[in-house]
Amino acid sequence: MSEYTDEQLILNFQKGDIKSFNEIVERFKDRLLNFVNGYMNDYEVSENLVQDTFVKVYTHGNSYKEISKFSTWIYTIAGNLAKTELRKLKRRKTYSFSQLSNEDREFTIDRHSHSESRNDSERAYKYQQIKKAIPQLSEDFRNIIILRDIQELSYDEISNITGLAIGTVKSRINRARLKLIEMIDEK
Amino acid sequence: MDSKINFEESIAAYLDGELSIEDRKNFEKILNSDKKYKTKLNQVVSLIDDLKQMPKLSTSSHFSSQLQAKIDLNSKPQKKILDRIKSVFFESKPTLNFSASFAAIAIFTFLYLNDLDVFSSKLGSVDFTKSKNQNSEYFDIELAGGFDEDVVEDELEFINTEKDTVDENNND
Repeated sequence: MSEYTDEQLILNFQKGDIKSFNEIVERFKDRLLNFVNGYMNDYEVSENLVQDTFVKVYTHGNSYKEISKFSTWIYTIAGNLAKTELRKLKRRKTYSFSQLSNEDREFTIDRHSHSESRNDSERAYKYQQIKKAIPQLSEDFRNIIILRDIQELSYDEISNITGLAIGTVKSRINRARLKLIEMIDEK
Repeated sequence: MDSKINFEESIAAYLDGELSIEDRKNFEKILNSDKKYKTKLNQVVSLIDDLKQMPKLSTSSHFSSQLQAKIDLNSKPQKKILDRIKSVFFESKPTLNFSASFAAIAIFTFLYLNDLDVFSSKLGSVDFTKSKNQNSEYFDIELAGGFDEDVVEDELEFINTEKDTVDENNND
């Protein structure tokens, strides 16, 4: 990885440097996958959406202006694509199917954790609970918990991505955490 | 104010170190007043840790190749359109050029031989309210184009009759 900032990389790409684009992909692909999966809770769909995000960056790279952070821009694209896809899924009423197939996938993760120590399996169980609870949070809470506690973005960046005031972001993260605890306790 | 609501609302600010000294003291006072508050705070701290340490998903090994395929698919049509435009305007095509030239010559020859005044703007600007002489001039030009003389005379009579009727009305 080069020492270029994300913003320098996209500017280089705008000048035609494909290597910079490839580096952007390497830097953001896993982060975006985890972010989008928080919306979709479906690995394959999420991976597809992350690819679509990069295609948008590739084809509309020139529309990025240096006034905002590149991460804010790319997260916004990915978030918008995820929201659109969610709306489509809801319209087709196949959302429950995708969740079902996702639960099937989670059994594979369980099999991996059996071979690990008891503490690890307990932790894995807790992660499972959290993973199942996050998609059930309301969209407002879900976005913010993913961005803050999983992606570890700053309040400032979250504010830019969501379009909310920093004060709202802070109060929402608090309420989202308490809601998540409540949901996990209920299970 | 309800201290529980205040406590819960202040957890994030307390953990981020954003409470003022006074608010921090109040928060810790509530925290030490009942075990349930400590439990709640510990739950939040534990949740944050779990969320941070949760195993992260990684993209599959096919990710890059699939992405490349999608990019190729998205950039190909643009290239094709550009190529088509370039080929139409900038590439020499003898057969097409010959056909186009031949067609153009044929059309102009046809127009010339039939004496069709297709490019004249005069036809659209005739004013039938003008004097008889002016109208006669106009019809003389049209007669050269092959109109039936009797029909034109009839039309002139009709125009004159109409003009007379208008004049009579005006006099009345």
